[in-house]
Amino acid sequence: MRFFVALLLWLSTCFAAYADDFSYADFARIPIQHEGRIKPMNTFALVHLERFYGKTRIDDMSATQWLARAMFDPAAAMDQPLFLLKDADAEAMLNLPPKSDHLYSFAEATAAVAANQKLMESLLELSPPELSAGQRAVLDLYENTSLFAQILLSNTLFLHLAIDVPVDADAPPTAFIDYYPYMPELKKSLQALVARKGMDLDQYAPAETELARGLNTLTMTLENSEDNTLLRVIPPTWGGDEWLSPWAVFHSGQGSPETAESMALWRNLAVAYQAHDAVAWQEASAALRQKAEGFSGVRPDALSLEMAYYKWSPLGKSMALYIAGFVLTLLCLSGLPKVRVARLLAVGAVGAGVLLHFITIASRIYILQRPPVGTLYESLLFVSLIAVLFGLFLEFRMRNNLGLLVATVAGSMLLFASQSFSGDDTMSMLIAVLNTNFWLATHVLCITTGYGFGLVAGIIAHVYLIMGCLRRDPDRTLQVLRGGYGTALIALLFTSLGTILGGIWADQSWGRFWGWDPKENGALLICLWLIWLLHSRISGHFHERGFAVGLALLNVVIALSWLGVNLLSTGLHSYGFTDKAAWVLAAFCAAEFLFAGVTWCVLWRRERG
Amino acid sequence: MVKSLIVAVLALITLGLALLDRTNITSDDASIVTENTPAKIAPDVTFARLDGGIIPLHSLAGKKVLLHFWASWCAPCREEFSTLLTRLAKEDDGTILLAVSGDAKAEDANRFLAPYRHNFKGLFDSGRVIVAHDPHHALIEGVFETFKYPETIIIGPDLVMQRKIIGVYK
Repeated sequence: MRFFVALLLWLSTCFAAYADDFSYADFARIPIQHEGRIKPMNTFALVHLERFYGKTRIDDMSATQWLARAMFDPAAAMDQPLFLLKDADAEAMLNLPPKSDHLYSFAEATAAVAANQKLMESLLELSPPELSAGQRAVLDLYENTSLFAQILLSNTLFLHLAIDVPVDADAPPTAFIDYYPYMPELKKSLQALVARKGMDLDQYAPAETELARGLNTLTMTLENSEDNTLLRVIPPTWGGDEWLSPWAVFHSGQGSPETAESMALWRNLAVAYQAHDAVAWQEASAALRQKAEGFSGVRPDALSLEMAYYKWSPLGKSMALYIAGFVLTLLCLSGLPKVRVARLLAVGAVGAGVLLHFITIASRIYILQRPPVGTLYESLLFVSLIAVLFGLFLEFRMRNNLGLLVATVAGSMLLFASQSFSGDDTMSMLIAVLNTNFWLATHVLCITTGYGFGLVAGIIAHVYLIMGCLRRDPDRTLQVLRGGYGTALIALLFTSLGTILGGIWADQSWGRFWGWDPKENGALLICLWLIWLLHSRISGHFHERGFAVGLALLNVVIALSWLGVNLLSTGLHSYGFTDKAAWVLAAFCAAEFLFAGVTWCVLWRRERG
Repeated sequence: MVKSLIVAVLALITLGLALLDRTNITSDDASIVTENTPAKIAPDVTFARLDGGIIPLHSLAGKKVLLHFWASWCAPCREEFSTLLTRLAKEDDGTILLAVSGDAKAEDANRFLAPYRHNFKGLFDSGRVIVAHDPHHALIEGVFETFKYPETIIIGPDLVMQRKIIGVYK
C-alpha cells in the first residue's frame, strides 16, 4: 500500500502536462492483446472505462480520449473523478467522504486503500461467497485502482521526465529510456557524493540535489514498472503467442529490431501528446496503426467491424424495434381500424429488428471466431434470435398475429434481460474447457436452441390461457395450443440432444459423463418437464387447461435452469456466475406462478359452470 | 407444418456445421502461420570496434555469429565470457563472437577483457573474437533493444537471427 502513496507523489511531480484537440481515429484502431484476443484500443478503453466509471464517456471525453490522457498525462488523469463507489458500507469502511455522485479520483481512492491496509489484507483472505456487498465493493475498488495504475504507468518508459541530470550523451535525455544507460554512472556519482557529504540534502549544491532527486525518480520509475504488463501492444519476436507491453519488453529481454521499431513509434506518440502537437500526433498514430495492422494475427477488418459494433450498438436498436413491433401487434389484436397497416408495420419492425439482431451475432462470430454462445450474455442473444425467428416462421405459416406476438415478446424480454449482463460483456476469450469450436457448435447451440423453442412454447401457452380467460373463439384458441404442442416437441428434441452431447463433452473434458452439476441438473429438468407434460397430454392425464399451465410454467423451469444456476457459485460450470439478476429472477418466477394460478382458477371455475 | 419444421431444423444444423468449419482454428494452423512469416534478417548496422575501426554486421555473412551484449559491471558477464570463449575454442566451425560492450568508458571494457585477451590469445588473434563498443547504446538499445546484460543473439550464415539467449549462455 505504501506503493500507492509513493506512486501518487511520484506521478504528480514527474511528468509534464498536456491538452487535447487531437484526432483519435487512428489511435482507437491500434490493436492490443487483451483478455486472450486482439482487439482495437477503442474496445480496451471502453471496457476499462465502463468497469471503473460505469459509462462509456467521461467529462465529454470518449473512452479513447480518456485512455490516451491516462497513458500520456498520468499526472492529470489521477485527479479526475473516475471510480464509482455507490455502496455506503464500502465508503464507510474506507473512510471516504460521501459524495452525491459517488465518484472518486485515483488519488482519493488509492489514499483510502493505502490507509486501510489491514482491512484489505483481511478481505483478500476471504472467499467470494463470504464477502458482503460492501466488502466486495471495497475489493473491486482495490482491483480497479491497481488496474488503473498499470494504465497510468504503461508509457513511463517514454514520457518526458521533469528532471535535469547532466549525462555524457549525444543528445540531452528526456525520458527514462534515455537515462537508463547512464544509471550505473549516476549511481556511482551519488555514492561518491554521499560518502563526501552524507545524506543531508541541505549540504548539497543545487546540481547535487538534482542528481539525488533525479536518480531517485529514475529508480522509482524502474521499480514501479516491473509488473506493468497490461498494455500488450508489441508482438513477440522470439516465439510464443503472448504480446508484450513496452515495460515487459524492457524487463523480459524480449527486445529485437522489430520491437525497437514499435517502441520508437510509441515514443513518437507519447512525445507528440505531451508536446500538444496535433500534427505529430496524427502522423505518429497513423504510422503506429499501419505498422500494427501488419502484425501476424491482426485482422484489420475484424478491428474495423468491432469499432463499428460498439459505435452503432445494433442490439439496442433491435430491442427498440421489437418493442415497437409488440405495440403494433397489440393494435392488430385489438380489432381497431387500420389493422392491416399496423400488421405491415409490425412485420416490418420485427423484420428490421431481426436483421440487426442477426448482424449483431454474425459480427460477434466474425470478431471472436467462434460460435456465439460462449457466455451467458451471448446465450441470451442467441436464444432470443431463435425465438424471434421461430415466431416469424409461425406467423408466416399461420398468419394470425400469434407468431408476431411470440416474436416480439420473446425478443424484447430476452434482449431486455441481456442488458443486465452487457456490462460484463467484453467479448473475451473463453476458458480452455469451453474454447473448443466443435462442442460450442454442437452441444451449446443445441441446448440454447432448445431453450429458444421452449420459451416460445411457454409464450404460446400464455397466449392460450389469456385467450381462454377472455373467451375468444374456442377453435382458434385450440389451434394456438396445438402450435404450442408442436413447439414443445421441437424443444424436447433439441434439449435432449444437447444434454446428451453435453455429457459426451463432459466425459472428454472432466472424465465423467454426468456429475449432477447444477447446470446439468437444470438441463435434465427441462427434458423431464417436457417429457412429463407431453406424456401426460398423450395419455389423457392432462387436458388442455392443465397442459397449457404446465407449458406456461416451462418458462420458470428454463429461467431457473439457464439463469438461476449461475447464481450458485458451485459446480464445474462455474464460468458465468453473477448475483445481479437474483431479485429479478425471483420476481419473474413469482409473476409466472401467479399468472398460472389465476388463469387456471378462472378456467377451472368456468368449466365447472 | 411438420415438414417445414424439419427443413428448418436441418437448415439450422447445416448452418451450425458451416459455422464450425469456418471458425475452427487449431494450434496447427497457428504454427503454419508462424512458418510462413518472413525470416528475421539481422539489421545492416555498423559497430565501432573497441580497438578502433568499424565492423559492419553484414560483412560477417557466411559465418555463424554470436552477437553478444555485455558490460564490465555485469557480474554474470564475467563468468559467461569465459564459457563463451572456451566453447568457441572447442568448436572449429568458424563461429565468430561479436561481443558488444555497453560500458560508458572504453577503459572499463579493456580492463574487463585484459585477462581474456591473455588466456585466449589465439582466438583473439585469429579474428574470431571481435569486440565492439557502443557507449551511448545507440545500437544496443536503439536497434536491438537490449536493456539488461548479458544477452546473445545467434545469427546464421544467411544473416537470419535464429535465436536469442536472455541471460547467461549455457
